[in-house]
This record gives sequence, C-alpha cells and structure tokens, in this order.
Amino acid sequence: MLDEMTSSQDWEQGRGATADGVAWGLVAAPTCLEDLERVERHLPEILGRALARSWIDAGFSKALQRDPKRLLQAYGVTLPRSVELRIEGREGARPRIVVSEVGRGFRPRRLMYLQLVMVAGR
Amino acid sequence: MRALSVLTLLFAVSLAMAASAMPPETAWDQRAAEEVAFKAAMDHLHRGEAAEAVDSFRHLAVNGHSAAQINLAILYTRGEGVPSDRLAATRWAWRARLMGDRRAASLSDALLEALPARSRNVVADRLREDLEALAAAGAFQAFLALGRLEAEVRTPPRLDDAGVWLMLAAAFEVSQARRMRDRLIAGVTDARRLSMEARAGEAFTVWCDRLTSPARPVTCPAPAMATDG
Repeated sequence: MLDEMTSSQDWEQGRGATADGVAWGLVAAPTCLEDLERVERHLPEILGRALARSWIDAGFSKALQRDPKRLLQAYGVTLPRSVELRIEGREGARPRIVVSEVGRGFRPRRLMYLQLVMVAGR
Repeated sequence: MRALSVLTLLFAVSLAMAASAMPPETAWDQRAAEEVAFKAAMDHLHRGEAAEAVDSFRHLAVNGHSAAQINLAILYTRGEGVPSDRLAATRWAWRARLMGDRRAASLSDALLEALPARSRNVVADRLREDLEALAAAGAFQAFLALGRLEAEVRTPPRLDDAGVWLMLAAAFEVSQARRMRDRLIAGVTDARRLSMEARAGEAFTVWCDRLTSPARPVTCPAPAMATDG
C-alpha cells in the first residue's frame, strides 16, 4: 500500500506520489501566501487537503507532525515568516493544525485551526 | 480583533435526492425521521459507541443521507467500529460528493489518490450501480453524477461515456449539467460528438422507459402500446 510506497522523508522532500506513482501536490502551481489576507483566504483549503492526506498516509502524517511549515514549503506553498503552524494531538489521533501569527512585542495570535471532523448534519 | 475561526473542511449544499419524487408530506416525514436517526448516530459516536454509529450511518447512507455517507467514509478510513476499508470509504465519500455534497471533496480526493487504478475502477463500478439505481428512482441528479464518475473517478477517464451521461443529465434538466456537458464536448472532435449524441439519444429512450409516470419528462417518447392481433 501507499504507506510502504512513500516514506516520511520522501514527503518532506516534496517527492510524495499517488498510488499510481504520479507526483502528488497540495497546489497546482507554486503558491506564495505573502500576507495574512492571502493566508486566511487560501490556507484552509490547502491544509484541508493536507489533513485529508494525513488520515490515510502514515508517511505524510509523520512528515506533517514533524514540521508542517517545512512540508508545505516542500510542496510549493510559501508562508510569511510571521505565520507559524503547529500540530496538536498525538500521532495516530485526529490531528489539528493551529495557525498562529507570531511577532515581536505580542504573544502568538491564533488565526485559525483546522481539523477533519465528523459532519454534524445536512 | 480577529475572531477565531474554527474551520471544518467542508461546506453544505442542499440536495435534491430520490425523496424529490415523493409527495411532499411523505418526503418531509422521511427527512424528519432521518434527522432523528442521524442525531442518534452522532450521540453513539460521542459516547464512544462507534459500532452502533456505523450501523446507523450505514442505514442512512444507503438512503442517500450525504452527511451520514461522509461520516461512514471517515469511520471506514479510521477503522473505527468497523475494520478499516479504503474501498468502502472511497465509495461513500465519492457517493456524497458526486450527489452534490462539497464537504466530501478533500477526503474523497485523498482516498482516491491513495488507490491504485484497478481499485479505483472497482469503486467506480460500485458507484455506477448505486447511481443508476438512484436515476431509475427518479433522482435525475444521478445522471450528472454518473458523468462526473466516468470523468473523475474512472481511471483512465472514459470521456465519451461521461459525455453521454452529461447529455442525459442536461436532457433531464439537471442544474449545472449543460455547463459541464458543454465544457466536456468543447474539446472533442465533431465525429466523437456526433457519436455521443447518437448514444445519448438511444439512452434517453431507454431511461424514459425505466421511469414511472410522475418522474417521466413530457419529452419522453410515448410508451409502446400493446396491440391486439
């Protein structure tokens, strides 16, 4: 299965593939989210795709747990230096990605968090 | 101050399911009963009774409840309450997505990409059976879903089959069908388009014969009458 096919090191270096060996991507083209407005507009969809992948791919999940920002960079998604990603929840559990703004003079400010959750209704 | 955003990955859209062929009161009663059953399934889940939740979601999913289909896909993915089964998970996630629930997009993409081509086509074959049954029951959105199935799930895609299903969906006046059909046929030769149109014309007659009176469009050919002698 895919778990054996693509290791976490492969994912970290942007070499992840689909089950047919086709290169897998988070975005269609290199994407630079250079300000907070773009981060808030585009990052939820990108992270949604990453989270869904992490549910079914142990290698990707490990790479995501280890350094989510670096993983995104390897897949062509560049975030501002002031934006920090952190994974909450232990490995194997349902992970939650917390997106914060960090900077001098103020404590990290949480912008959003994402988690794959059960659908609560129609 | 920026409000904290809690973003589930998914967005709601309304669905026109097989219930649309029922009288309004019956459809409403069924919908209300489904919501009670759905809440009971969620309660099971919150109490850690995953097996009971799977059982309830499965009943609802079979009857076209898209939220139950997505949750069932998640439970099959995680192997909670049921052995992990990626084919079943992929089938249910795509069933919800193809019938119009965009909340299933991220999960269904991830699940499909993780399957080899042969397994994707096993899923596609199962979905085709499901969707044809829905179409026969008068849920015309299933024609559009069948078109998307052949274009997006089948590996490699069968674009001519997809075109025929989209032409049928447009004929049955499914929302968005004309736009999708036109986009698909814009890239094909005249000869292929003519071939698709001929197949769609024959399929239209076949499907008209399968439909019962209330769901049958007026453009359907008159049913063949039995004659004496």
